[in-house]
Amino acid sequence: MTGKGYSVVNEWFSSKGWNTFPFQEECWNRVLSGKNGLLNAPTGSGKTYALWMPNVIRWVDQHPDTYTQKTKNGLRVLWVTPLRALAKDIQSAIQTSLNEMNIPWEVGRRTGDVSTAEKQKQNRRMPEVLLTTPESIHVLLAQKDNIRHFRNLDAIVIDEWHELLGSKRGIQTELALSRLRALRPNLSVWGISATIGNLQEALEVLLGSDYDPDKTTIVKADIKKNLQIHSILPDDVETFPWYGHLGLNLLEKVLPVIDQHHSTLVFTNTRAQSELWFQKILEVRPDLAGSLAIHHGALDRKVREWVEAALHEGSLKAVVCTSSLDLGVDFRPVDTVVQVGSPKGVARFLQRAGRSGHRPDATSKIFFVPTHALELIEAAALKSAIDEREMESRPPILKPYDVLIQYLVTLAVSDGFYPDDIYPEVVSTFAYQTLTPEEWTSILEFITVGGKSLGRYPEYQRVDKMEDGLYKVTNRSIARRHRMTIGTIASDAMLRVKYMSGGNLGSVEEWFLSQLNPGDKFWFSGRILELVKIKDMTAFVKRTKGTKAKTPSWMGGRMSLSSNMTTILRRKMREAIDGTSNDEELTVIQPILDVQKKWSILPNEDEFLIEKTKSREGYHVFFYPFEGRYVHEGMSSLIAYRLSRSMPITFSIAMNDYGFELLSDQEIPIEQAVQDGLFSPENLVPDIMASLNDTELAKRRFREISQISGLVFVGFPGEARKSKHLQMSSSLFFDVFSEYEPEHLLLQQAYDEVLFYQLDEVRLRKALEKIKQGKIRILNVERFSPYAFPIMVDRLREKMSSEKLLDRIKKMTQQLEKHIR
Amino acid sequence: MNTYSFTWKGQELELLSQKALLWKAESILIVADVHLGKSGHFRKHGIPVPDTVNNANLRLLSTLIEQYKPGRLIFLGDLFHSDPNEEWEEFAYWRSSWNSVDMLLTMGNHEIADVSDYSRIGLTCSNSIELDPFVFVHDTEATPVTHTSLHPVQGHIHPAVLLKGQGRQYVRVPCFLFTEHRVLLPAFGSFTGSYLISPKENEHTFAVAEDHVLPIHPKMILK
Repeated sequence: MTGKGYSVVNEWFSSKGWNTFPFQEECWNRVLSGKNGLLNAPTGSGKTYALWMPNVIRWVDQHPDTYTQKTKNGLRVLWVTPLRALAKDIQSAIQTSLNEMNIPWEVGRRTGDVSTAEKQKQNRRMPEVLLTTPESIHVLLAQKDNIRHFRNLDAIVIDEWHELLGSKRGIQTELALSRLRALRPNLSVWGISATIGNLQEALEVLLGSDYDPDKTTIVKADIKKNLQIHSILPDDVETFPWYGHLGLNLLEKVLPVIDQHHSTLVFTNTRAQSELWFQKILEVRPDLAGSLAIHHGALDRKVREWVEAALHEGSLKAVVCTSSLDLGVDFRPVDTVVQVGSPKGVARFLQRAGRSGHRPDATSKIFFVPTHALELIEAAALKSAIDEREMESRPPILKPYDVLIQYLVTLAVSDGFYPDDIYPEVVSTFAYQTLTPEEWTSILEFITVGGKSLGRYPEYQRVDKMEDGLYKVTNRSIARRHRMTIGTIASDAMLRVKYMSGGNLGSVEEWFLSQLNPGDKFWFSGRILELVKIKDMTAFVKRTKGTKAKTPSWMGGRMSLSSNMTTILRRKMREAIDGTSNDEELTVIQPILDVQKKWSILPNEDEFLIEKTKSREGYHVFFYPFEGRYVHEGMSSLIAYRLSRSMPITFSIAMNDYGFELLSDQEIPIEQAVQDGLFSPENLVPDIMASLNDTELAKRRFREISQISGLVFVGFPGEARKSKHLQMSSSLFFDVFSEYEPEHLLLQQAYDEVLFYQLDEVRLRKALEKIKQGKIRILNVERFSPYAFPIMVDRLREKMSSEKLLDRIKKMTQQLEKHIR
Repeated sequence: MNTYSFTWKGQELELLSQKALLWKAESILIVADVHLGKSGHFRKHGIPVPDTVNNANLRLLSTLIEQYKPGRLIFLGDLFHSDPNEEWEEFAYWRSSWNSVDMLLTMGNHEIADVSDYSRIGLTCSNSIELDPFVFVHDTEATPVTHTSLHPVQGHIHPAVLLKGQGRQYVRVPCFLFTEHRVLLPAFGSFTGSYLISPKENEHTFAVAEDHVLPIHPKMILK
């Protein structure tokens, strides 16, 4: 490559004493030759420069004599990241390179964390490079005359695309891209993705109908990172708990890891867990006070930024964190990572491991801390999955109506839109390529008249259809509320947590704080706080001492093991049972398996185990397909539905990644049901549909859908609640629509999502066939086996009933009378 | 449909499974928290809720009037969810078809319109209605009862209880609650939520389940 731009960039690399990697130059060439594509590179590999430098080269080549003088050039490059923290890092890397090459470009950031003043400054004049998130682009698109910002846009880069793909934030990204591509037909579009199972598909989703095998390309960095994986094993597995998710039993063995390294990230799966680990570490090791920090998404921006900066400088010995530190941020001093509890997927585990040794040539080191006995098998499974490079796919979501509804209202809030212009853009995305004109019409009806039947929605006001056919929001308060609720991450109502003396600490779910009275103590941000009062969506607190305090817990859905992981898990289980493995984890777990064998059986390859137990609670039946939580959610409701068809019966259903439990107050005739075809793949589809109606699965999905589509809004932390009269729970909406408008398009979406995630026909059919082909072993067991125990103690449960409500209450009354007598 | 007779403070009261209370001796029907116009209020603010919700509430009221032929109908506040809208007119039309019934409204926290707006559509408004031995009121906290000898019959809370049975079964049902001194009515409106209460041992709880009203033993209620 020749030319002024290239030599400027090359000189800069030399001045830093760096060599360019072949994949970086390959990217420069491909981008500059007008190709769009995907860069497959891990973090810490120099991927930012691979896609940033083409912009410099292009600019210098266009202005070889004036590039060191030209300022106020308009927005040229949009760089989208999934994480706010990441944006800052990239901003400084890009700005530094520009300064050192004497290019007077400005690099700005526009995320939820950026001040209003800064945003207003940008509105007057955009910097040449803008780091932003998918949500913030949509907020920009909701601005009046937003087109002016994009007049000079040359390139857009979607960083960590694998994180967005497969989520509704990914859909938001696709829609934003469709708009920007329409405004700038020659826009250069590139994604950056870590290795996932469906890279090719990731590229096709990114480019939508612009995908053309001749003009698009995947560049692979092919950097093999050195990785060390260790499991932290209990000394005595017999006293190791059979259930639980906190992992504090192994705390004593984690401390030496922290001591032996410079800087450690301790990843936990929930915020509550991170608060607890932080507390406990300090309790045991008060000497770590000051060099131990906590980081999670609910903490105030300033707190998070302080922790991030301290990690950069290397002044922290350890940080207890959640997925809030999953991505990209470059913490060079971090040399080891601890993962507490199952990461649920190979890719996430690897990603977290990559937070340590964050340089091209360094080694990443991760310690896995099992939280209960069976997780030892997961540890072994993770290791072999990584050896075999078995990365999960991120299947893209198709046609979610809620995100499209939100997007169209966004456009209507800005300058309005003409459906004939926008429809082609929308169907040019991968997600909405199959959107029919009928569906499009229904969505337009939804945002203008409320629903299909106009008569049912008198006085409805959201988007107005103007005389010339322009769709526009004219009501200011609707516009304002919409702007504030753009986003696709469903959340509970949050209250800001603030010291009486001033100073924000972060935010906590309203439902948690509503259980507290003034004077009650709770743990937050790694300290004990006393609630003083709640006013205007703000909880005022003061610091206090003591040891007894509540910890805000976490109610959200639970993650499922990926299907890759479950396949490997079943294999490892097999090896553990057959004793054909040398994995240390599988050796350690033997005593637990011996107990399982003694109290129940260890099923053979071709056996399917069902355990029956009676307890004070009632009659339990356990099934162990080892297919992951999501599949078990679907399968358990199918099985419960089939059982409930033959008799009036009520079930409480629990599940984990290994199996599921049906619990009832009456005996469950499982032997008969198995004979009568309980696992039969026949009539699968009608039975799936029927069981769907009888569980809460769709209702739970509806929660997110109703927030994204603007039915339910939860208010904002720190804001006086003016809109109390507009608050209603998503479940009430679900009931109202089910009763009065069962064909409602958002209800349909809820059912479709369940069918996609939990009741996928193909996966269920396969699982049922497998069970049918093998031998079903139904065992009466005296005690809850090691397999059963972790499921039995779970309190998060589904329910399914074929009994009349009245009969159930009468039965409860009888049970009580018997008990009292 | 099934009702449950309960004698309290010397008066025989019929607890109706439609979440209404009938005081037979005085021929008074009492309902609380209908939240009419709520769906319309949502629609006006860009949230689509079908108006069939409103109609269903009025139809149910008609059924009750036809069946029990009360001389008076007392709305215990929050009859309307918000400002006047089209659903108010539906109510006005419905109200005019029941001219024989006196309709009284005790003002609730959702009654934010002018008193004249309510009287225009045929409602007699007041903060409370005293009829020995009861005083009808929306919420005793907002409207303190002066005559301590009278027993408040109130709405506002939208009470419900969570019942617990064997096999980790839980059922959430709206309920009537009779404490030592006052009565809480369940919310009548079909587009309203509910609030879980924890009755004390000596209080009487009646759950509404399907078309029945059932007495609930305090031990069955999860606190």
